[in-house]
Amino acid sequence: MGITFTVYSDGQNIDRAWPFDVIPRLIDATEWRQVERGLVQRLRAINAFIDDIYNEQKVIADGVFPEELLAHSVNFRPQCRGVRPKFGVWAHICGSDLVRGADGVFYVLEDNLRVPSGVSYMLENRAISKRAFADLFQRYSVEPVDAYTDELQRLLLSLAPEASGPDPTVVVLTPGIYNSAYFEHAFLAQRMGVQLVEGSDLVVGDDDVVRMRTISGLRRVDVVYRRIDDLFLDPEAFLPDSMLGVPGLMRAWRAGNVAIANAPGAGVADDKVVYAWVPDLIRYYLGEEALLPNVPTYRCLYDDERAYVLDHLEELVVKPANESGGYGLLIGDRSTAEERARAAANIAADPRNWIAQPIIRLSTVSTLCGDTIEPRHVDLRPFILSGGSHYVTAGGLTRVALRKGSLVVNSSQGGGSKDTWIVAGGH
Amino acid sequence: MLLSRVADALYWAGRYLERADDTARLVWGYTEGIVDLPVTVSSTWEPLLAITGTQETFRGVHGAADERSIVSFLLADEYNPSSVVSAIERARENLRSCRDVFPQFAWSVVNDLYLYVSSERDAGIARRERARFVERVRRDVDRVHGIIGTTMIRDAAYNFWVLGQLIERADMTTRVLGVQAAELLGTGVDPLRHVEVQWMSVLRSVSGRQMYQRATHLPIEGLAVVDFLLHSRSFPRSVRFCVDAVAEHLDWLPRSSEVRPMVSSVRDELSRPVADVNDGAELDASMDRIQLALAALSRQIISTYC
Repeated sequence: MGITFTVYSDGQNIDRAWPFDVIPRLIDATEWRQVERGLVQRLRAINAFIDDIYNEQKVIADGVFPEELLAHSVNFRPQCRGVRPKFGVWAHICGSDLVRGADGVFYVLEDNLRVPSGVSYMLENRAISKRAFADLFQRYSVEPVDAYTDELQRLLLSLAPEASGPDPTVVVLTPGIYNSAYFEHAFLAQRMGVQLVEGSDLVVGDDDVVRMRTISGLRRVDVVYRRIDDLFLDPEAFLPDSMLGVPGLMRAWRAGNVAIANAPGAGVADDKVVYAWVPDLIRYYLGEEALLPNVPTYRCLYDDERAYVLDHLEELVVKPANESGGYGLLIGDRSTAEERARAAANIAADPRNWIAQPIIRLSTVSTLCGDTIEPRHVDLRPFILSGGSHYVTAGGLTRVALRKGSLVVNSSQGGGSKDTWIVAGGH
Repeated sequence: MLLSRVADALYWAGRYLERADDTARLVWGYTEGIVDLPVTVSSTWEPLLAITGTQETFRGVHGAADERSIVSFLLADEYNPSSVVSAIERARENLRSCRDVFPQFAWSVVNDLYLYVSSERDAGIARRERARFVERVRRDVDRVHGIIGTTMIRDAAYNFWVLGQLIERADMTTRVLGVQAAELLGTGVDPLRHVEVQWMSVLRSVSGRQMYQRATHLPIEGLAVVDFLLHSRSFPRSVRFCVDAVAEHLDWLPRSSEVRPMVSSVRDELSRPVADVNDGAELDASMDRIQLALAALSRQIISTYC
């Protein structure tokens, strides 16, 4: 189907086919309703937190969130202070990673709030399994996933600034064909029927209005669904030598002339350290207890928690707080003494940047391995849309660690994926 | 609404895919012509280099100008930016950056064709295998045209895709005439009387043999072939037909008044009587002038829209 995923630093062969396992993963609809409620609750609290952090910072004044964490956060963008995006929402599109533990409970492992990817694979996986198992779909009532792109388009249109007309222009901003998720950027633009633009297609005038270069001249843009990281978004505001971004985009956004999804700076909550506070944030902003539990998390910033981590490296997964894609990960019980020593040195050098969690025995599901069916570890990434209202995908992208015994499901580290079926009435 | 960058990518994708198709037709038409000649007649493959305007690039890469190296250069060579394989690679690269506007199934065909030619790069070099390689290229390009013809909305994206093809096609027809036909005319009466066979190969190079005969009801004859390929209003590969179609597509685009003068100058060149059509050098020179006018038209399209 032409689905590819680009693996960085793999020499010439940059496009690799995305391995797909045909056996779908089943989740009961009743259980899924609970998960959906938990995810929506989580995103309401996270968005309230981001909005607060860039404005009043009540959460710090009230002593719930330590100020020093913010001071060291690599994803906090001072350029975003004082901005009030529509609906108070910054993280419009979130991909949260869930794992099922040995106790059968779904835990949230992390929330991807910057430019989460994978939703196109979820949609394509369903397209493949509909063809392969057309008869099964007759017998089970499998909840459809196709509505995602319509919901996304509805959300993006709703973000348009008041000043834009009745027919706002939405674009998807991609770093271009060499980006690992380019396939997805093109896919989403195509499904929504909107322009797929690169930085050089956009220009911001002295009037702080974003326009795109078309064959009829410059045309106004109202909403930018950006798939470029903050730091490359606008060379005027962030990295001056970024060739991918649009000079002046931040000016236009701050002036309220364009909506950006996800909002710049939303990544402040996409941080494995902030993650550890999410249950507190839910309590603080919503006055509720978290419906979906976090994985217990040790924050190396604190002396006592760090001491525990350093003493129990073999039993823990150690992760850098701000890396995605599984780079720099240490899985304690599978590590060598040398790897643990390196991890300990890393932690000592920059404690804030490291967290540790108990090793979760990820659940396994049946997977076709050659001619046999064997258990393989999986996680699950549902996508949550937030604006005036919320939408959660029916299921999400199940990623599977194809190597026997492996717990690493990341596509950049040899993982594959499966279709996920939310099935009514048990199975 | 169409992004300038996307217009540019579609225009060049259209040109490159057309170039791959035309070059494949040309090599095959020429191969069939040579096969028809008795082995006693010495055959040369060098006109193919002249037609594609690649003599200099060729000399930089290859030594002997024999069949094998010339065909390999035109079909497969990565150092030749106009080889069939290179042109397909470039067409694909351009389409990759505008997959959101290009029909998905047409993209799949281009992508599959790219995967085929890049893994079977050398499949068309040996005469025995050549037909299959060329057929595959022509068939897949035809499929792309079919999918686009029946499923793509007629908006500016479509116009740019077609404009690229039309200009490339017109250019290729003038090249075939300029080199192959001029050479034939220049030789005067061929004592071996293989002239008809060679005019047939000119027509075949642009897939025009059957339609020539339907349209003209004439036997294959030099001047009639030249007239057909330059001025036919009904043959889609004639220069006249392509230029008329360019003008029609421009009607749909904004700001086309900036481009029209360049269309007129191609038409002017086309309607200039060739002083003595039996003079090969003269014919070659007038084809050169049309090519220059087409190049100016192409540049104007790019500078106006892209």
